[in-house]
Amino acid sequence: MLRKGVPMTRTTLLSLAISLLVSGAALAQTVTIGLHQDPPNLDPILSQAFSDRSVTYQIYDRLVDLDENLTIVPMLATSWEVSDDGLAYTLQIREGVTFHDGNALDAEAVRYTLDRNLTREGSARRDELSSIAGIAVTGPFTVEITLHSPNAAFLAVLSGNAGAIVSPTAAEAAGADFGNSPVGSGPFVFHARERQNHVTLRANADYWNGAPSIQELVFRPFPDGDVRVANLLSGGADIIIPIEPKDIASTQAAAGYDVVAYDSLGWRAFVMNLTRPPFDDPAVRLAVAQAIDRAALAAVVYDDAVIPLIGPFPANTPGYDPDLEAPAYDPEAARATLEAAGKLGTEFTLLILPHEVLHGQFWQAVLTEVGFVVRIEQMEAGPYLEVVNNLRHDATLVGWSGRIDPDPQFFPFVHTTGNLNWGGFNDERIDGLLEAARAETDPAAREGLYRDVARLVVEENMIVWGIQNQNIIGVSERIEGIPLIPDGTVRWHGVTVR
Amino acid sequence: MITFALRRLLATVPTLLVVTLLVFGLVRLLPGDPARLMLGESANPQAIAELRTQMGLDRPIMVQYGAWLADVARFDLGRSLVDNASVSRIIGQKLPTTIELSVLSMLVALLLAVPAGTISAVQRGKPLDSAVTIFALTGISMPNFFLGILLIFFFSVQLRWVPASGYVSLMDDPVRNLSLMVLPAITIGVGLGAILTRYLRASLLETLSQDYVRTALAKGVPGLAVIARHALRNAMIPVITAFGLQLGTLLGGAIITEQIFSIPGFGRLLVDAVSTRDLPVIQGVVLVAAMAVFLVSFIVDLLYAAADPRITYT
Repeated sequence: MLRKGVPMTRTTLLSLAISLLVSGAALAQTVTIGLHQDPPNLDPILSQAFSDRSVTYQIYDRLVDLDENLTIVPMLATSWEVSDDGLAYTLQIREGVTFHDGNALDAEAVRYTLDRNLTREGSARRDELSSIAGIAVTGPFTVEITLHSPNAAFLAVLSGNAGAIVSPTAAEAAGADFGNSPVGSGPFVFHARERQNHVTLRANADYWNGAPSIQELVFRPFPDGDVRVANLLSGGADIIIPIEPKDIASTQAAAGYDVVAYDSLGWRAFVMNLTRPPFDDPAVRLAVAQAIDRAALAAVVYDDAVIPLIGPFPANTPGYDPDLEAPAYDPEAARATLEAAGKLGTEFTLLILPHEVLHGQFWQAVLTEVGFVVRIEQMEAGPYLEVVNNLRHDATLVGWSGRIDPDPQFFPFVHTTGNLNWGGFNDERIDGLLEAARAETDPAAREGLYRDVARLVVEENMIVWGIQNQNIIGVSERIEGIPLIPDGTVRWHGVTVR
Repeated sequence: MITFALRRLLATVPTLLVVTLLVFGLVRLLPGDPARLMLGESANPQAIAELRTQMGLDRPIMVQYGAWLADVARFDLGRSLVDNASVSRIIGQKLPTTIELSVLSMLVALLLAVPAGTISAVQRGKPLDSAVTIFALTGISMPNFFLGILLIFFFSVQLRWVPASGYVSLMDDPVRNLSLMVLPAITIGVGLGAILTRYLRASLLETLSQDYVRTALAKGVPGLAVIARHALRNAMIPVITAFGLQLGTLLGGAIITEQIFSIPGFGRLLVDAVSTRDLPVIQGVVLVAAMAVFLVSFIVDLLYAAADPRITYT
């Protein structure tokens, strides 16, 4: 026993040292997140990019949040009441919350933030909040927001950057530089940023919902998909958002890594310019709808990492209609349709963004097979937007990140005044239904109206939807508890590292 | 020599003015409205118009140019449209990273080119010459992005010798900095080294056929000493010229390589600025790059004298 005692003491010391090292490592838990781009702007009023939200959602609490079922849940607003006419929202703001600069978060900070969203020059939030008529502080932790007209999508908007509450003191002090020194009340505090290199956040030990177990989040941009996955597999990143479909199999095969795919709100569709030939002709559009094999599209272009979709509302979103039907895939019928209309050999140009090449080639192949002559034209985002906004294209492929409410999900594309009306829609039936839906306060009736619009657009093949996007992330098995919220932005507060 | 240097520097002023005009004009020719791009897909026309005014894009183009030039003369390159940071400051932060990458790449290139070019010339027509020629042609033909990905795959993912990508400043952690820079430096250095190998081979072959080399050999000077002391030094003059001319290749290589290895340098800055139509940053980066090319060709001119005492400046 005695002889064993000496080595035991050594062993004990050794284990103590190891456990100290391990606990030291646990204390210094850092998670590195590989993003596809450098987040351009961390000021919620100027942020536009998906990569921004990956960071801003950690720094700022929002008035409300979404759960995995897309239910709106309390965040900074602990409860809310909506008046019977749908024009007044009274929000109770959480007490005892402090910003990272030490100032208290109260109703006045909420009023300041919403006012900043609405009035600051160049605010990208103004449109989302355009239904606001007035904001009043009615108590230290009570805010009343009145609207011009009922807007059932209003709360959903507050779950995004429009509802991200900033520290008024910090925002005033930083002015236009606020994006470089952001201050919110979220679970992580902005620590440092080097453009094109990293954004580093540190845990907020005083977070109202408990300090996060991860000590440090480092967001690194890896624009190239191959490099992103190489970083994951070589330990340079713990998670990559997104992973490219072609890398899914190799990542799953690697020990210690996993790929998680979950439904997003977004879709990809073939959008035709209805204002000029050839797609002003319903027969030509029908032929397009008959020519598309969505299962093959999902398999060939996206390695089956997406879901075939026929309408604007994926199954996990309000407005989804299980009875909606689109023309079945039938290339013979498509050719016959074109032939009957005397449109065999119809030529057109398919305008695409650089990342849609394979997707574009798929459409080119299936449409050529049924008798179209398709030329692909590739353009960078800048000139692309000029062309589609001015309806100077024949057809284009649109990828949409999606919104949880059916109004922002669909209105911009098909209403005459929609800001993404790249089909040149000008249809009184559609406009009437969409406007009625905006004013409708009964949720069931409202959803019915959106189903009616979707049916109209699909029946007349005005837009041909192809697939529902999936959020696909490559992740080290060390990371546990990532909430799979369909908007695709990871909330890191409750995530743990093994 | 000082007179020559001053004259040479003065002569660059009008050229630089033309460069500023080109930089400013070309950037304005980029399609797409920066205000529209900044505000994104859900922007309304009023917000776009406001932002255009705020950015000064609604002023006549010559007024914009004049204002920009006046600022440039005061070393003020404006502010980024994306995050309002000072362009001079951003460039100041990024430039050392790219200079470090360039120096390391040149080092790799020289370490490859001097022995390879020398061996190739001395062993002309023999198997070793053929092997070097194959290396050189492969190096010249292989695109940076392909070599970079290959290196990451073998040395980071498979062997895990070095990190795949990222950046830590040399001052903060020199060891990690070098481990992160080694693959990018090889990626750029191999192509550059391959070109220089070919130059050095050709130049050395010519030098080796000169009378003074034969004389030295006839006098009994050992072959290696003749090459190192006499031939190589003379053969380096055209190589120095080629080296100077490769700065453009180096910067071009840096743009792609920084993208692959996620190095926050000058090239990466330019790519991001172009994709977000960050006009002040694009202008600043291109202007500084043009000035760098002038500066290097100036230094190369001065280096001739060091390599060849027969050259004097008047």
